[in-house]
Amino acid sequence: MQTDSMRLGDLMLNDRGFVFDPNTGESYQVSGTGLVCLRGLQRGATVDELVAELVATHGVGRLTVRCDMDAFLWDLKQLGWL
Amino acid sequence: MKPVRIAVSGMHRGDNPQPGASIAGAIRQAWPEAFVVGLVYNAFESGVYAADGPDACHAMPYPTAGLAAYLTRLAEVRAATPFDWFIPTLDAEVVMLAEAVPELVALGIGVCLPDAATLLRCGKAKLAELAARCGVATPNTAVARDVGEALEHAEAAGYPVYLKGPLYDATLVQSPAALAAAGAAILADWGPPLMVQEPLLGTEFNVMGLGDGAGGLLGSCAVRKLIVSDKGKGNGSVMVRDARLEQITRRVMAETRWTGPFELEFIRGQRDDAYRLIEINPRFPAWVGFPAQLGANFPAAWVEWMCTGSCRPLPVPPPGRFFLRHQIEVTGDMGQVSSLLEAMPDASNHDLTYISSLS
Repeated sequence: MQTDSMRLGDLMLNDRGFVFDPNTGESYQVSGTGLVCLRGLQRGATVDELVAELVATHGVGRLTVRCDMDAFLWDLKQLGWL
Repeated sequence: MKPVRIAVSGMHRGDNPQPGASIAGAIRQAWPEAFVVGLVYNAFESGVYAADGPDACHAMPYPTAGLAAYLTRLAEVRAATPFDWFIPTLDAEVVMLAEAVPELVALGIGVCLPDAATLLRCGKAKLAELAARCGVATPNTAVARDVGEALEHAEAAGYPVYLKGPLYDATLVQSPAALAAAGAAILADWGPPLMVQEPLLGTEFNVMGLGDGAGGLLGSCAVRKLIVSDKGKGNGSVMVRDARLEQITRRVMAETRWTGPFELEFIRGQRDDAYRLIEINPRFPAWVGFPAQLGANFPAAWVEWMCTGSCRPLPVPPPGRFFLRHQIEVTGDMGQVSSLLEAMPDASNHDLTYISSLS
């Protein structure tokens, strides 16, 4: 899945996982893994690429990462970021 | 451009702050040598005593004293401390002076204001019609001539409702008794009509900008309120950028051919994520100093536009920057207060008790 959401691209992130949505003025805190995903999606990575990256860096099974990733993407959709 | 000499009203920065002191500061930011005349209605308007306050200060009669009294006093003030332009910052002033531009020009005082018909179209009582033409929703609002009619509207809508005056005041009322009390107070202060408005669940956003009078926009910026006072004032806001807000703002400008500063107030619905236009304020908002600190100096752009007919493009302030209202104590001397009081055109406007208790 390739994402090119304007709103996702507009999100302001810092290295501590603080996320500011300039569209709504809302702010959020994401985990380190969430930050990797958001930054990856912003630079145009596919979900499969992100799953592979997390499997490689976290030593977790692909199925587990994929399940967690789907839940995270669902949250992003609810926020209108995808 | 010749040296800026400008009069500004609305110098109070305490509870329920006004924009005048921030406008003076923003003008000085652009032109340190500018001469700023503060026009006040009360000797205790705090901006008068701030370190970067106006160079001269004069007492004015309230707009309720009538246009003739107001213009007479403006002429006196201008004779004492000459200025070329006046930026009124209070709704009641704008409404009154919009009908007196030729008289002001005859006095040598330049203003750039929306005309009276435009102000009427943008007033609370007509807002729904205008909003429909601009393709933006508004909260359900019924207009009442008196408390009795307001009670009928509230009964039909169901409590709670917001009760609003024509220029100021918005009170959330939960019962007929509360509505009657609030309605009587608003009518006594501001006169009819009363607006009975549905309360909305959502987040408040404000847009500030400058209209060029030809349907265009000289610049704008938007904030989301972070901290709301018990009077509904934004005591903290964060800069946002939403294309939908920008489009609505452009449509309002195009429809009204608005001249000068404005503030649009919105609620973004919690349930449907849609913006609803709550109010149009025909002036700079109290938070005008915030974008000025981020490089978007709206008062300076407006002065430049008034003086030359054009202005440099206003930068868009970066989203994510926020302000918090921070109250401090400014100090003054009772001699300063007394000199202002002596010049008050109508001393009965002002609270002299404190002064007499010191003498």
